[in-house]
Amino acid sequence: MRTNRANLHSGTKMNESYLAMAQTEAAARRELSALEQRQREWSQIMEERVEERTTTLRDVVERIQKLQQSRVITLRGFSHDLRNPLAVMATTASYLRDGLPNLASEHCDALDDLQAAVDRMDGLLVELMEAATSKGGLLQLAPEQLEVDSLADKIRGRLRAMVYRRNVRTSVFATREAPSAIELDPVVFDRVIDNLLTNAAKYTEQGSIIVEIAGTPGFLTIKISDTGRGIPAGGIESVFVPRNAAAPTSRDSYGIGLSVVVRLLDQIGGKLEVMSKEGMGTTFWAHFPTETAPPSERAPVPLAPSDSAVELVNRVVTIRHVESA
Amino acid sequence: MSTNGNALQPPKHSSIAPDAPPRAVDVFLHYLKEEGVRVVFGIPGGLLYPFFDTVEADADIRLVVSKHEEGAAFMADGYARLSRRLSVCAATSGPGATNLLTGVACAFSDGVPMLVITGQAASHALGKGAAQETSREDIDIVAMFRPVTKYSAMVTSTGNLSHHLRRALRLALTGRPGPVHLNVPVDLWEKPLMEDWFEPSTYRPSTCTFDRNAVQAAAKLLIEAKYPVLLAGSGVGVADAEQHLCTLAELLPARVATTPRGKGLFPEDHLLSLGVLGLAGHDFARETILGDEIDVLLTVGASLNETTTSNWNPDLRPSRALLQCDIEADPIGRNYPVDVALVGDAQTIMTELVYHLHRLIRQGAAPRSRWEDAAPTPQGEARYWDADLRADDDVPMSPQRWRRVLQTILPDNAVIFSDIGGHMLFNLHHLCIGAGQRFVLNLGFGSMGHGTVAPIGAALAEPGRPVLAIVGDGCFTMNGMELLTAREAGAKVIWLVENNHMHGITWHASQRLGPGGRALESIVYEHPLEVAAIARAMGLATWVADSPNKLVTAMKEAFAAKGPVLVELRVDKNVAPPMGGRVRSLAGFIRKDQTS
Repeated sequence: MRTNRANLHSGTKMNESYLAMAQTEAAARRELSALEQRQREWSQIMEERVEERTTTLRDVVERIQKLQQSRVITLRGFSHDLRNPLAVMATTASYLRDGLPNLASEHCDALDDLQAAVDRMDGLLVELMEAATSKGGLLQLAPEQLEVDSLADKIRGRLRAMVYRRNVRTSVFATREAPSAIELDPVVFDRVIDNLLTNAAKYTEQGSIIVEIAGTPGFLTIKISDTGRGIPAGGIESVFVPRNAAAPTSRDSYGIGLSVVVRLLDQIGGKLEVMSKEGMGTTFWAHFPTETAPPSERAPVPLAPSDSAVELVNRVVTIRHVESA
Repeated sequence: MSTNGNALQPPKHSSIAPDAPPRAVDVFLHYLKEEGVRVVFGIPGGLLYPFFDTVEADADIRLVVSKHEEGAAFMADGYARLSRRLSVCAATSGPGATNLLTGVACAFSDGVPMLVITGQAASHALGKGAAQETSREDIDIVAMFRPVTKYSAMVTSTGNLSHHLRRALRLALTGRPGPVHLNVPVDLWEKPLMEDWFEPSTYRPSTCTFDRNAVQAAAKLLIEAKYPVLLAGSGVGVADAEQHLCTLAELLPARVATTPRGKGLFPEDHLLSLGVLGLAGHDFARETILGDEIDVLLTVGASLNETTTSNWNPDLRPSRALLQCDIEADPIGRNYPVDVALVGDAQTIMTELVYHLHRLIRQGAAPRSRWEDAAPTPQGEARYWDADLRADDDVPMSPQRWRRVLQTILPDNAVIFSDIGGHMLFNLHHLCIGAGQRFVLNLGFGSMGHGTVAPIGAALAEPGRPVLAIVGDGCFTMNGMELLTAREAGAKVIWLVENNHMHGITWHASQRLGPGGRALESIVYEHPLEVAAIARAMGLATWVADSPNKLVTAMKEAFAAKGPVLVELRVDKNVAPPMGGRVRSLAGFIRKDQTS
């Protein structure tokens, strides 16, 4: 009986101890829970603040990107659109000179001034286009639907102005194989064609230049064939590589802008073929894909073009060998 | 013979169970779609019902129902001319089929690719007198179409349907394009047809051949010519070779005239343009080509017929060489002895000529053309007759005056259809078709009504392009009900109807041809024809203009309006069209008939 009472007493004590322990644990849990809650609240506050900051930063970045984009678009628009009326001015000046053979000397001077101003402005626009499409611009192609029908007239006008007053016959025409339209950034197209035409016109003192607008499935091909001085054998590869900044550049050397042509064609998935013989002339085939690939599928744009220039040329350019007559 | 080895899959056609095999009509339409056909023009009828029923249910092909079958053929013609693709017209057996004939003859004469489908009585009933039966034993519709098509055949079983169709498509679209005709018994369309499928490139060659030696000979003559001239006919348009013609002309340089049918294929405001040679043409073209200076003449896609050559004028002989380029050998040397024949596609041959000329230049030769030192071609008003009538402001206007006004507001890419009659002569002489614009005239067959209706097809082929139809009141009365079709189909055509209340060309010509200068008075309407009122009744917006100011206002609103519109032009009926050459030709024919 006494033993039972003693056991009961110790059991009660144990129970009290257990209860105290449980109460302590519960208090600890509550405290822990409160701490967790507090941590969550802090985290939330932190997240909100970080989100807020991120949004602000994103807004700033977007605003900067938009400003950059609008700068590029503006440059593109101006440089591209201004070249067309400029070509008209150049051609009109040529026609005026042709059509009015007995011009007074002051009128001749005026036409000379006009021509010089047009040339100067054209040079500035080339630089502007360079600014619009280099680096930042390159990453933002703006493909448009270009009707092939109008390309021949456009190219004809430009080429005519380029060889004005020289003994060079020019012909520009399209074949049935040409696609009716292509989706391409007009600035890219203009720069590629302008560079090739400029080279053809610059190095053809006399003879002829033919431009044929043709195509193969999926591609528009512009073939530009001249009877210019040609590229020396073994030197063809080098004309596509941009010159070292330290090396002297000469406006008379072949290849002005050809590295740009290669870079631009690479970016849109195009190709360039060339066949040349010194003293005989040069033919370029520029192949433009009829559709511009979505940005994710485009070839990566080299951050520093000169670093991978040889690879770029290997990827884009095919050299055709001149067949013996 | 190559195929992709796959049978045509069952069609996705709502009226057919998914597991049903393709029917003959499904195979037929599949071929048409692969050829780029998107519109069928026609009038449904019993003996071609299954075809029309399937076309109407097909989401990829539009059925445009005309008011008369001739209109369907004209519309298909206009559609093909603008799109430079195959067009399709269809009509039921009997009168439906015969009504197509005139329109198909127009297409045939001008090299327009067109598939004509006509209905026929059931194959098991042929020869037994079925309603509207046109079998070989009776009224042979296949034979009727034969002279005006490149191929005319009756499909006698589903087993040979694709064979006939592929042959028809091949002929319509290769060589000199043209219409082809298939007559199909009504019971064949719905029969099942499982067979291998042929891609268009496997049955239709795109080869454009030319004779290299002839091109070299022609290039040599052209580069050595002092006064080379090119004469462009409608074949230049068929070959899509306007740009190549221009390239060749500028390279030499050569001056360029066009035939009346080829008007505008070389820009008429170009410094090398001589304008039109022949019917209602321009003096400078005539003086240059029939004159003494010209040493080499290259005709391209021109048949040198009566209207171009002013009744086969014997002076059309250049001093050194006549070069003739045509897709077919038959027109070569038909009316004039030819020194170098260039048989082949005009675009291919002119491209080869340009390349060969450049080759000669690269070898050191230089074009000897002296045109740059000659008196310039007349430009602007100096080109036209009737300077006083082009300038006067009398009311009602002269036909010359309103065309001069219209010229100033024509869009750069306008397509101008002309019909046949006095207005056509004014159009030929008094309009200037510049680069980017297009002039269409069915002078090969010369059917009235074509210029009124074909523009509807053209407007459906190129919906964004301004399409104008400059027609006479006589043409309007013949086929004017098709304006209703235009409204239903939403075809934006601007009709300019020159109303002199009579068949003007015949009235004016009869005064010169008839005894004692008497005019045929029966062709003057008893009551004035209210053209605009008729068009309004068909739901078109209309304007009436009898002065330049009213015309300008009307045209501005007409261009801005939605849907088809009509401007009625009240003109002085006493002004005769420029038809001197044609009247002289006719008088010559009549006199010959009397003496023989």
